[in-house]
Amino acid sequence: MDQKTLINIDNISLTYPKVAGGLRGLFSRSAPSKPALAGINLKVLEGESLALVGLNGSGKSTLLRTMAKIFEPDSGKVQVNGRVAALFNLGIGMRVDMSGRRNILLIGMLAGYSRQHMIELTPQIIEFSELADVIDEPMVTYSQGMAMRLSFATITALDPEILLLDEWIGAGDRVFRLKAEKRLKNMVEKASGFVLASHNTKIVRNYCKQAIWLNKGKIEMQGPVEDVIDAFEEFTDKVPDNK
Amino acid sequence: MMDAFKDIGRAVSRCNLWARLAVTDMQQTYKRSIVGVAWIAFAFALFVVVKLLIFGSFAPGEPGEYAMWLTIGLWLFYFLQQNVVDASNVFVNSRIWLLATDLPLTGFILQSIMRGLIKFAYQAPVVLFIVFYSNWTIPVQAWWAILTFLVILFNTVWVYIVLGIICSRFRDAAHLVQSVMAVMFFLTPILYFPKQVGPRAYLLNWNPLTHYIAIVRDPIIYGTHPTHSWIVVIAMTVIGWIVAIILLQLFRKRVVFWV
Repeated sequence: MDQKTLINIDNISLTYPKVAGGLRGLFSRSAPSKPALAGINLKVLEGESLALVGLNGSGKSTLLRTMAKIFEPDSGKVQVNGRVAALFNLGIGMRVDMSGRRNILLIGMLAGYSRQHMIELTPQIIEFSELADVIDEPMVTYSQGMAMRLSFATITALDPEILLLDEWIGAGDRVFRLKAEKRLKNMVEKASGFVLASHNTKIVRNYCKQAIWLNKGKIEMQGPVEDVIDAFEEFTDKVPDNK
Repeated sequence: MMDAFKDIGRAVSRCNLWARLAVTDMQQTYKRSIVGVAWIAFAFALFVVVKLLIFGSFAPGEPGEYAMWLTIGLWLFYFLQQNVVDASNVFVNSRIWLLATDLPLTGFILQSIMRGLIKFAYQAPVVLFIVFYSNWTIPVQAWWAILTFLVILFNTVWVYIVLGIICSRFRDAAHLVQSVMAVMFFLTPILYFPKQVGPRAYLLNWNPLTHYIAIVRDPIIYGTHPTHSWIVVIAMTVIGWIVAIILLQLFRKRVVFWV
């Protein structure tokens, strides 16, 4: 077993700073903010697929952004070995008034690839996203699902070693979800890894092997996807009754 | 200090990306307009012509000198003003990008400066037109202005870093910057010559924009280099960059939480 470690997160904690808002922030002393992440340890090895589950505000996106080096933790270490591609909120880095084709070039250039390289990849991206009919139309005319297909097709065509996905896949239709699943499995076979944050436990079970359940910034449970999701679902089924 | 330089280096090494983003920003702004980016030149021409007509009538000295003075002054002032105002919003306006990518902060700055440069370039034909019709003999030393303009560009970067960071943490600072910049126009010798102000001309010296404009405008019109202005500009360049590097080093990774 000499699998390469793609992501190594060592005891990180992160608290969002409280930024004073206007006069009220000046005069009233508010309680210190709660940590968004507290004492998180995790590893993603090559060929691994990790799911992040948890209720709203449990720290899934914060953890993903920390992996993407967008957030720097207050303490602890984040080590990332390999080319990272991340898909956060839809439409990031997109120019909605430009065509899908030009947005492909833009997404690629933002990720650090040359325009020429992206032009070469474009036919393959159009084919995978199944947007050939509308690729020269401005993106404002696309539905959310279509925009998501374009981003996903582009970012995965770049062949990243680590892919970070935040709650996106639900927007695709069934046909595309199956295709995406195949592509992600392909990635894993090629010894790349991905981390997927999602509320859709069905998708998570299909796509991922490992899972982490986050609760209020802490790891509640960590392990094989079936065990973690079973426990998480049992927990969430009970929550409404407890209120 | 390494990380601050790394941020700048990462941004500079991808200049063509920022240029392309700046171009798409401009296309976005002028989309579906028939005249398109030519609006930039048109709006500027309108300003220059109206100001020359009104203020030119009571300007002392040769009309050619005044036309040159006002047009070049206005051209540079708009570029500087735009950059300072944009600097106060640069990170706040890039919020969704900051939250989705780990692009260097300086990149958004270069993108904004390039937008300013595109506008500046579109206004150039108007300036050339006025220069041509003002009948003013341009001295051979005028080419120096190209080099001194590079000094201005070098300075805009630190202004962006400093104002961008401070204004994303303290939102009142952005409003302050914008209010002050609106007043600065009257404190900068553009519509008038400093000698017309009389004993209060010293006030103009307290305005940094006066000096930044002087180091470019003086060589073009008179072929001279204003020593006093150069001292101010060099001092500001050094101090400004030191402050910028310190702020960037300390708060580079905090900005994303503030925007």
